[in-house]
Amino acid sequence: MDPAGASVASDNGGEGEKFAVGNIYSVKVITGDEFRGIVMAYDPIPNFVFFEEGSKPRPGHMKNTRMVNASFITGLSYLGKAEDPLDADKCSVDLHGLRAKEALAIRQAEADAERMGVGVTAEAQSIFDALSKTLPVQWENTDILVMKEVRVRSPYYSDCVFGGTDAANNRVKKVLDLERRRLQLGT
Amino acid sequence: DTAAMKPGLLSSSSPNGFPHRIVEKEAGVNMAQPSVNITENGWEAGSVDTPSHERLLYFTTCKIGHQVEVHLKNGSIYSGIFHAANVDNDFGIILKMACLIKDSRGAKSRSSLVSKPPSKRLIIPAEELVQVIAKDLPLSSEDVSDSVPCEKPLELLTDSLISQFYNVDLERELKPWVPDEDVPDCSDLENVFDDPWKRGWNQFEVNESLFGVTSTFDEELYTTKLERGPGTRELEEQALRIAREIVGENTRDLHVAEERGLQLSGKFDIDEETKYSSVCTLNRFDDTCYDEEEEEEDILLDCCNNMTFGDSSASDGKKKPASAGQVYEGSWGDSRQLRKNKIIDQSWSNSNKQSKDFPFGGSIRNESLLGEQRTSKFLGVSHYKRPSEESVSGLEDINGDATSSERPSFTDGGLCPLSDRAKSESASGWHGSSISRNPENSAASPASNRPTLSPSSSIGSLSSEKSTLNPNAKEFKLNPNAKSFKPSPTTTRPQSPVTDGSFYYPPLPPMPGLHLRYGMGAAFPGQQQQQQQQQQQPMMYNNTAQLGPNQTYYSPNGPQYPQQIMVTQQRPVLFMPPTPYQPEMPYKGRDSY
Repeated sequence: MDPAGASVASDNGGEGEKFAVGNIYSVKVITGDEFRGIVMAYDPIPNFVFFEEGSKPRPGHMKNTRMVNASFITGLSYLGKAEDPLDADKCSVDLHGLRAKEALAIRQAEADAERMGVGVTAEAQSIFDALSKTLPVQWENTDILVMKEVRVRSPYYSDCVFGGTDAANNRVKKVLDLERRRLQLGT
Repeated sequence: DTAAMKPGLLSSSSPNGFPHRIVEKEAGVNMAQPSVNITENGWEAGSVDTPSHERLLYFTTCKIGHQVEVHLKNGSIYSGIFHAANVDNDFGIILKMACLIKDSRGAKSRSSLVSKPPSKRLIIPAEELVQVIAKDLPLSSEDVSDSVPCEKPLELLTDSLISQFYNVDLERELKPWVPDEDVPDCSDLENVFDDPWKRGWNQFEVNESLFGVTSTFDEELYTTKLERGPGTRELEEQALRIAREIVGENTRDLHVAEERGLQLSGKFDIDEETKYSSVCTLNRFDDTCYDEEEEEEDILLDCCNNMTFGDSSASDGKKKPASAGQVYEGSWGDSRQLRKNKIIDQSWSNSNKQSKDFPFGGSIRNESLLGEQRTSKFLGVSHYKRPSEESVSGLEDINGDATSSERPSFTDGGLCPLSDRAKSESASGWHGSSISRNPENSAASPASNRPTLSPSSSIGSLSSEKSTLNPNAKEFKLNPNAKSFKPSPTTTRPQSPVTDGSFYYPPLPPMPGLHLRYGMGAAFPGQQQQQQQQQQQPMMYNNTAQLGPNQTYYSPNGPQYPQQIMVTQQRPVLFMPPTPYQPEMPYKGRDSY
């Protein structure tokens, strides 16, 4: 099935069978990204190539990989041939383990998402992250709520700190200043 | 027909086989909800069942749960958790918790854009998909038994992972510290790692000059009063000499060597941990020239253990008793635990600990211990080995001949005052104890002594595990001229030919259960009675005073007057010269410290 849209690749840059397992290519894609990789798998029907990144196989079983839609390859040069690093006999997949891994990753991502302010700038986010190291903080829209009582409003300078007891308020101001200084954001 | 169950991957077809459109959707679920049908049994034949397809399928499956970066045709980049791919079809994919990290205009989301919450589920059709980048993707090859290798990294949770340190601190370029300009240059203090005792820094002087603070330190508050008498000068000199010898001795212990300013082994790759840690490892001892094979490790371990637990064994890892320059820095007598001590040298101290009284002199010697090496019983008392003989192995002395030498066997230096006594019955042969001497009758009756000695004064060791008799010890040679030991039935103190004052013996009440730190042990002056009393108790005398530079010895037994019993250790630290000399007293190489 030919994906609608740009279908650019037409080079047969390689020797022998195109995208044979083990071939090393320098690849350029339609977005402008370039890399070198070793073919690990290629299925002509969906027209996707699975590369190991690099010009030499990385030892071990962890690899940097790219699955590339061959339809979007704009440049391809054959660089050579490498051994297929994958020992087909030893390949097995633990689906259960993978699901667990995914679940864990999702949980972590959700926790991370909690910490992210919505509609805030990156600077605001760094300030939030810095404060969160020593103070309990949470987002409330674009305000940072510290210890559930002190509020730091945009643009998050020490004159934007409101609420809470005097002690808490001063503490937050102080920490905010220090963190700003440390992050070199200016106070 | 209907979508077959594809392991791990979604079936993209709706029930009637019509492939649904995959559209990009933020949050929420698409109409054709991809169901992930996973069979645990491996691959099912799909519509396309070629080896290449299978390979691709395999790799794609490996990405499940992995954080990936997806580049779209329009230039935008998403980061998310790989969830599924349309493997039957065109390989469109689904990500979970996807964040836009670079939008199509090329702006990086983090830098200036206002952030957006991640999409719970993001579906990317194949025609938008340029590449999917998965870094450090575990593809099983080797050593994957039943679990995917990717689980292993999960098990290795580092602190940063756990605390999820999101924001990497801005890193600064590290520069070496330079002192402030206006800080006074205390070059004295900078030579911290030079010979510590040569720094010429006297804190008392400084305190006095800077703050007018004078020291009210009175040594006698902390330690037993030294009796000074006519023999003082000599003793002091001797002590100094011995001290110098000790300090100059070779040691294998890295820490000790550093203290002394000795460059130990040629192994310059010794790391700081080994050099400065108080955790004793085998490497701490310079074993480059260690050539004794026996029980090397045990010895070292014992040593380490002893050091840790305050045993009195020699700190030095080496066990060789006879090598000159070996340092026996054992903490003497302090053996709450008698560690299994295979080291002969250590035995002496151990013997101190254990024996109830130290029978002095040969009669005490336990024949069984003598075992192989000794042929005859040790008679009588004073058999000190001649000074010429050995060195450190005072043990040898003891073990060896009991010649009525003039000096205490144990050391090179010998105690000079002792020498006087030597003749008389002092027991030198006390193996194991560094002792002293008990003139005349120090020890109670041999009989009573004997049993006590046995566990402790092992010639070889305290360990019951194997014979650790000192193979290097000299054979006992009977000295027919030695005076035989006659325990005195009544006197509490043996008559000492030595003049008063030549021995320093601080009086201490007998305290059962105390250890005498420096092996003062039992040898206590023949207090018969006391010894008998103490038979039941381990003769342990606790050296309560600090025996640092001011060494004194104590007699745990009752009333004391300077007695001849000089308890010494391998290195007879007799007594330290009084305060004025203190600065000269360098670290004595005791490991106990």
